[in-house]
Parts: sequence; C-alpha cells; structure tokens
Amino acid sequence: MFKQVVGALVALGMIGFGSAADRAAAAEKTLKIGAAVSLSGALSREGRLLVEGYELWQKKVNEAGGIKIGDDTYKIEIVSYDDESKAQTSAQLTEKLITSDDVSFIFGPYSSGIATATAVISERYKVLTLAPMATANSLYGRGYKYIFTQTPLADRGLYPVLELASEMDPKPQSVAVVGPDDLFPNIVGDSAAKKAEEMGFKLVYTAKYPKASTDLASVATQIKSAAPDVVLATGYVQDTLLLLKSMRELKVDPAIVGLAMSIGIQDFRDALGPSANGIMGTDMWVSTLTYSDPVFTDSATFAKEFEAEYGNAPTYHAASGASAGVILQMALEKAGSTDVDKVREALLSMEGETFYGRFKFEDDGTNSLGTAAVSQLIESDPKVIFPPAVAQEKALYPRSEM
Amino acid sequence: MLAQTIVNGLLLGGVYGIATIGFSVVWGVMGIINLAHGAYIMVGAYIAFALNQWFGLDPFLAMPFAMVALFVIGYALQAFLLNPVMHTSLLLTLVVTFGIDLFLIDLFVLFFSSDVRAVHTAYSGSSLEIGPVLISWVRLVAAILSVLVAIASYLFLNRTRTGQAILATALDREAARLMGIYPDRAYGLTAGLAAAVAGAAGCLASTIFPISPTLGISFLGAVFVVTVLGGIGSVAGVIIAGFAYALVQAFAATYLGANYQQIVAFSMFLLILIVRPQGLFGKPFYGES
Repeated sequence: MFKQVVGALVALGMIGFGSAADRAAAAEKTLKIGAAVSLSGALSREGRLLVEGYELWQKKVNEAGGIKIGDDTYKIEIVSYDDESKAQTSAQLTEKLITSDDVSFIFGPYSSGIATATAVISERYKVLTLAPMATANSLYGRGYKYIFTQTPLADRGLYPVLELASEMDPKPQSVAVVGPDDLFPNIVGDSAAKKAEEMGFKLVYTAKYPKASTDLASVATQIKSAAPDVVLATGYVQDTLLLLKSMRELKVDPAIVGLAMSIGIQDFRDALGPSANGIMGTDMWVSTLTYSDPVFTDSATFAKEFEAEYGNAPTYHAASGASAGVILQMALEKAGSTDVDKVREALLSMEGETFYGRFKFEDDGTNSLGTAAVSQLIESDPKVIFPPAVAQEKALYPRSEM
Repeated sequence: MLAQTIVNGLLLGGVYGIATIGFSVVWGVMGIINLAHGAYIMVGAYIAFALNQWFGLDPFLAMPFAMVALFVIGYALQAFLLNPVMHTSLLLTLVVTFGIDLFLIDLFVLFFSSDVRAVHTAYSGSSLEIGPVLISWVRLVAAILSVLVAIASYLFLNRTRTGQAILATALDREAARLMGIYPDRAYGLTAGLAAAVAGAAGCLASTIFPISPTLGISFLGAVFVVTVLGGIGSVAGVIIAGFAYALVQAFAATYLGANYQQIVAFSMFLLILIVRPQGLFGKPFYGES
C-alpha cells in the first residue's frame, strides 16, 4: 500500500514537473536546425564559410529576439557537425541529426556531390533541406520534394551574359564558346551554346581544349577566323588567362568577352594587367549587390557584419548560407507553423528577395528567379552591370580594344 | 589560317626546345630522369617575375640572373643529393628528384602563394603584322633566344674541353676517370648547366604564360615527349623535336579540334618509340651508363 502511494505521488510529481517544463518551454521555444558541413578535409575552406553564413544568420535572429512562428517566438539553435568532406559521413550525420537530434530542418552541406548523398536521407525522413551550395542539375531532376536551393544551377552559369548580350544595341549576332574539357566547364559551356542558339544567336565556334594545355594560340587563331561578336569562356583562372593573352596577341577583339568565373579575384585581375578593360565575369554574389531583406538589409551591410564577426570578408559561400537562413525564416513566418509540409507549401507559394537575390521556388526545388550577376572590369574595377535592377554601371559595349 | 598555324607552332617550338635541353642532357649524361626539371623552369619564371616586379627589370634581361641562380641550385643539389644515390637505382633518383620537385613547388607556394601571376611589359600583347599573319613580339624574341641558347649549349658540349669531358664521362665513366676527369665534378657541371638553361626557359616562359608554382608540371609532359622524340641527350635533336612537337600540336588543334592536340602529339610519341626508339637524332649508347 505504502509503495503504491509513493508510486502515485512520484507519478503525480513527474506529471507536475513535466507540465512545468512545458510551460517554461512555451515562454521561450527553440527551433533546432541541423547542419552537417565540411569543416575538415578537402572542402573545409568552403564548408567553413558556408557554416559561418548560417551562424551569422542565427546570431542576427537570436539577437533580434527570435522568429515569430504563429503565436510563439522561437530562438534558433544550429546543431552542426563536421562531415570531413566525405559524402558518406555527411549522410550518416544527417541521419543522426534527424533521428537523435530531432531536427525538422536542415542547412545543406557544401558541394553537390555530398548533398546528393544527404538528400536521400532527408527525403526519406521528410526533413526540409535548404542547400544553397548544391547546384548540380542532376540533384534536382530526381523528383525530390524536400530539397531547395536559391542559387542558380550549374548549367545556367553563362545565361546572364547571353541575356545581357541580347539587350545590347546593336545586338551581337554570333557566339563562340570555349573552355577546358572538364566536367563543370562542359556543363556550363554546352548549355550556354544551346541557350545561345535558342536565343537566336549564331553559334560560330566551340572548342574544348585539354585541361593541361600549355598553349592556346591555336584556339585563339580559330576564334579569330570565326570572328564571333561574343566569346564565352568557361575555364579556370590559369587557362583563361592564357586564352585572353593569346587572343590579345592575335588581335582577336570580340564586342563581348564573358567568363564563367568571377573577375573579382584579385590575382586574376593583376595577372590580366591593363588589357583587361571591358571583360565580363559572372558572380553568384558580390558585396555591391543591392537586393534587400529585413534581416541583413543589403549585401554591403551583410559584408560589414560578417567581417566584424569573423575578421575576413565574406565570399558567395557565406552569403548563400546566410540568405538560406533568411529564406527559411520567411517561410516559417508565413507558414505560422514548424510543420515541415506547411513550411514547404509556404516556400513554394512565395516570391521574394534576400540580399543574395530574388527567389521563387519551383516544384523541383530550384529557384526560377535565381540569376548570377554579371560584372565588368571598367577601369580595372569590377562593376555590376546585370541584372539591370542591381546594376552599378551601364555595360561598356562594345568593349574597348584589348 | 595555314600560315598563322605554322607561325604559332614555330614560335612555341623554340620554347619547348629550350625547356627540354637540360632535361635531355641530364638524362643522356647521367641516366637521371630529373622530375624536378619543371620546377627549375618555374623558379626561373619567378626570378623573372620578381626582378620585374621589384626592380622593373625586363624579363628577357633577367635571363643571366636566373641562369646563375639555377646553376648554383642545380650544382648544389647534384653534389649533395644526387651524386650519392645516382649509381644505386633509377627508382631512387626518381624518388629524390620528385622530392626536390615537391619541395620547390611548396617553397614557392609559401613565399609567393598559389596566386597566378603574369609579367607585364610595354610590348606584351603587341604583334608584328605580316599580311594576315600576326607574330607576337614576345613569342618571337623568346623563340630566337631559345635557338641561341640551344646553339650555345651545343657548342659548349661539343667544342669545349669541359663539354668534351662531360660527354666522355657519359660514354664511359671509368675510362674518363683514368683520363683525369673527375666524374662527380662533370656531373655537377652538367646538372648546373641543365638547370641554368631551364632557368633561361623559365624567363622566356614568364613572358608568354601565366606563372604559378605549378607552372613546371604542365611543361614536364611536353619536355618528356620532346626528349624522347629528339633522342635522349641530343641538343640538336631536342631543338628540332621541339619545333616538330609544337607544329604537330598546332596543326592538330587547328584542323582536327582543340581536344585533339594532345592525342595526336602523344600518338606521334608512341609511334617514335615503336619505330625508332632512340629518337630522331639519338645515339643508342647514350643514357646507358
């Protein structure tokens, strides 16, 4: 009898204790978000920047008192693990985040390769993933419902240069696409060539040179004889420099030279020297973009706050991470619930803008408004010239002689 | 386009030649396949870059400085690291030179970072126009200097007592020693001179190509092919093979497509190995010491 009474009292006590805890939680709730990103291994640098972006958003949100979701206000807690740049580890950690840390939302890993492995897991558990740095087309063609990226996919790398070209007066007629024979350049180059033809440009020359080419004078010679108005190059820093040098020596002078890489890289600009004027490059993000959102205001403010926090200037990796946080926040606020499917529906029904760019998500998880920015070296300074909404300067067209 | 293709090939061929001389001679005289040769070229390029950056020195005028510096490096590495191991096994010399290569590359990453650099001069990018053909000034000067350095190397090896001593050591180490030649000193001189010519090649390369600590790696493939094509140890062979290799590449790239340039060049390499293993101008007994 005594035991039963004690047992009942203990049980009552536990109930009472439990409900007290519930009340405490109601006062201040916490929303856990998982992130298994590379902090060591080959991708550690990019992974670190991405996580810093996620964490800066967390800090901003918590300092502002949290996110209001429905009637409750939630603080954010990012549970992050190091996937050691290994896809399999990242997948295991994703499972751990879902099953033992009980997260319903995940910030994706760095690189499409790793995200391809983690998406299988998050899809199985119906956990919503925002993967700002996973942009391989293959990942979004699988019918997955719970993975989203706001960054334009890999194959769209040179689209903005073509769109810009088609708005120029007089409109350039012909296009050449050249680049090293390598996975990423091929994806960018092939789809740019296809897009150029769809847009009514005449595709006059394409070349895929071996990655380890010591010399590109022959390619430049052929570009010269094809005489395109627009030259699109999909290469990396070193081969692109070589190509541009050879083009200059052979006096190949198209009206537009567009690169699938950033022209903001300092050593690239230095190595190009005074002849670089007018060359265009593409950037997923630069700190001079003037898109805005309520959390970070704009890119310049984000860059300033990032530098104050981490001591170095942010890259597009960090910017994409922070803006993924902002997008999730907007979706949570709109859904008024932390229910994954409601948040997903909110995401799909929204059209908006963060400091990183505009977004409107499609069913496959991609962002139909996502576009890289085009910058042009104008008096050796990179200036954003496209899209028009955020342009700092009018495009220099046709570019002055090399 | 035909004329331009020939010009492209000829202009580049000289640089391939001078980049290969040292590698070929070291292989021929000492039987060492020097995997650090590409790094020597890279060091030469950085010397030209640094002198240009700090003192405004023209990269072509940097050649003597780079040659002296690399002579010292080449001689010292041979004397302290390679002489003790060169008669043990081919594998060991490969490992040691590979180690030197990695060391030099990382050293330059440390001091210059892995950023890509370029040397700018007032005349870079300007070209001589002959009808429809454009001849880049820097490439033209580089090609001419390449041939001059090659001729000097040839004359040194074949017309001076020191050069004869080196060749004699290559042919028969023991007999050379009996004739009063110190093999180790001959080897040191060979390695030093080879490195010096590589340094000169680096200066020339700095005017044409972007510079990074891994510059040498992209050269080493071409250097290997040109060596075998020209005949191991043959300076004249190397120069002619350099032009042949560059011309074949230029034609393949222009008429078959850019992605064919290496396929065709390496097919030629295989063909030579099958049909004429000693190379176009090689003597079969070189490189057997």
